[in-house]
Amino acid sequence: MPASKRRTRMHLSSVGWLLAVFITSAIVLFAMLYWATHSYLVHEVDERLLGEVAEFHSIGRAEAIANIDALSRRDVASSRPYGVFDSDGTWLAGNIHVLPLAHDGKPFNYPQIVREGDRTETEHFRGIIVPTVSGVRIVVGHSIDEIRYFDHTLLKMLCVGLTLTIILAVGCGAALNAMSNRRIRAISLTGREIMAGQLNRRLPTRGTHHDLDRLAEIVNTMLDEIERLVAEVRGVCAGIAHDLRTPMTHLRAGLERARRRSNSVDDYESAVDAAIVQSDVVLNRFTALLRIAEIEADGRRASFGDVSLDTVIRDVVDLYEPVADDRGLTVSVHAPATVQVRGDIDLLFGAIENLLDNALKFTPGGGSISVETRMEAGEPVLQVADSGPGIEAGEREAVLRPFYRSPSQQAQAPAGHGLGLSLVAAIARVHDADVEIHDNQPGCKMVLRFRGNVLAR
Amino acid sequence: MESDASASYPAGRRPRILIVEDDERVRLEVAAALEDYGFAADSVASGHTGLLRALDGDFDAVVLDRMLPDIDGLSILATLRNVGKETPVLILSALSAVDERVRGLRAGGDDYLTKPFDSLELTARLNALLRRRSSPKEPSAMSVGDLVLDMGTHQVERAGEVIDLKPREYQLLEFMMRHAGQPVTRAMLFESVWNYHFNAQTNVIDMHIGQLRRKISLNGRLSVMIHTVRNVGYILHAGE
Repeated sequence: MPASKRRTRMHLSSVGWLLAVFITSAIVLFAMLYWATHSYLVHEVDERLLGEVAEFHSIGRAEAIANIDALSRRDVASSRPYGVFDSDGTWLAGNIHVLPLAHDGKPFNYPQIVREGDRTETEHFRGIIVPTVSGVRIVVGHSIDEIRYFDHTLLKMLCVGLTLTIILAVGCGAALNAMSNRRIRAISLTGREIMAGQLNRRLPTRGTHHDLDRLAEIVNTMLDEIERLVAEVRGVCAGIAHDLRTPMTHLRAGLERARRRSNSVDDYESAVDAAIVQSDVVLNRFTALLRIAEIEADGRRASFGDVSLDTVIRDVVDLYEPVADDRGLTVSVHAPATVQVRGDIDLLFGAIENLLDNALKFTPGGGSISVETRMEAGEPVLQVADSGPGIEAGEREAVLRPFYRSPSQQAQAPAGHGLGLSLVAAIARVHDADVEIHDNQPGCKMVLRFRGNVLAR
Repeated sequence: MESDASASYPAGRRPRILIVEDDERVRLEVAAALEDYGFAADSVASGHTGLLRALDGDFDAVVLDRMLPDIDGLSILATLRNVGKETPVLILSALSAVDERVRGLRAGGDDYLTKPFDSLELTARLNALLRRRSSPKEPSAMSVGDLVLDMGTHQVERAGEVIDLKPREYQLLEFMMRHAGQPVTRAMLFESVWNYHFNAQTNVIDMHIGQLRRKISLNGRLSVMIHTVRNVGYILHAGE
């Protein structure tokens, strides 16, 4: 898979970048350490040299020769040499025999060959030339071999340290890389399994707060939701197939019977009419499904306006009055005050209509239904309550799903498309409303709570 | 039923309808349905020719697709209205969102139907459009046979006997009398009387009509005036 290879390389280079930055900064740090130590030591020597310069500056010619001669005979003379030279560079006294070529008053480095037994050695000194008022020039020196030796040792130590640091860094980087590569491989393996259809698989996590773990947890939550949705879609597909098969079977059977038995034009006409009725049933179900999809597509907010729920309730109840009379049910409206929500008046009408239609369907004759709207804790609330059999607590969420038919109500459920409550749920979602199903003792109480739909907004 | 459309027109003259629709199947289906129900249909496939024909021709109504490949249906409608053409326009659209409907009607459309639609619904609505245009002035009272509706006093009488109607029943009857002799669909009744655009359960409308029908026939003492038209809706006429 080229894509995964590219991703691994990108990942490698990100660790590589980190390593490069780390190693560069280690080198810079070590170099600065070396430079600071070295210049501190040289600075100490220079301080001493400059101190002596102040002493010698005002010295006379004879005094200078005598002093330097005395100084150059001491024990430490080999590491602290002195020399006096005439203004033309001729040696006068001391153990520095050649006037070095350098500017006056500025410390400089110079080598000197020293004979010790039968071997010669080059020793390194730091010196300064002091021009005196009497005209002679005094050279003060200081051996820096020890400093050089120290420098050398320091450099070696630093190099070893740097090498160890780099090895450690590269090793850690490689290990980290390998580790995250292994985890990514595990994740991509699971990912492929999920893509292959095993939707119940989840990305491996270790329960830590590691970046990858947190990411995997987010993806897993997403997968839970996707699994739920897919299950729902499967349920809907099965529901559609099951629900449409019945009218289609009737349709086919009717047509087939007409083909077999009909003799007259009238027979055929009535068969065609029956077929039209059956196909209308199918079409209505599709229309209802499409309507849910359309509402959920969320494009309807453009048609939102201020809607008086109490007016809509009265209109719906008015529309359903003959149905209630026919079934021997009483429908009462409790809407003492105007309750306004922001929404689509046609959709809200549809939601209330479906709730009332459901209540009318499931409540046995002689029962009563109440439709209410009120403000509760600043939120508009709409409620349709009936005295019917109610909905089992375990089924309250399921009834909002498309094509769900309560097993306990299967027997008494009159013809319906099984989409009424999922239509209500879709309309509620568009209006930021919660659908709550409560026990009315006895009966069922459906509540639409328009949270976040306060008019002041 | 086949002569519904021509009922309100002089003998021999069938209302001419222009169909502007790019989808060939829908175009042929609409044309066939209109021919069957007594209209003279003239169909074009592009918005450009549609606009030219609508401007030139003397049509009684236009069936206009909302989405055309060259010119937007609403632009055609706006152009027609801008040059003063008041031909009734029925918009066909695959978009059924309410704001689409509102936009179509605001642009000067007279009615709106979403695809896929029933050809009976289309012809019933076209009839209503033509009727609306042919009787522009509001009479103070309407009568069909021995049924009289007084719009001033909201009183309904059948053969001299006052019928007590609920407000909705009165509105239903007024709509049906306004379209007497034409089939009206349940959706048309629901939209005009309740003024909501949501597919109501049709059996609910049936129950309202059932009660109205019983009251109008004075509980069966006189002839039934509201008849069910199979697969369409209802028709009100005075005939026996």
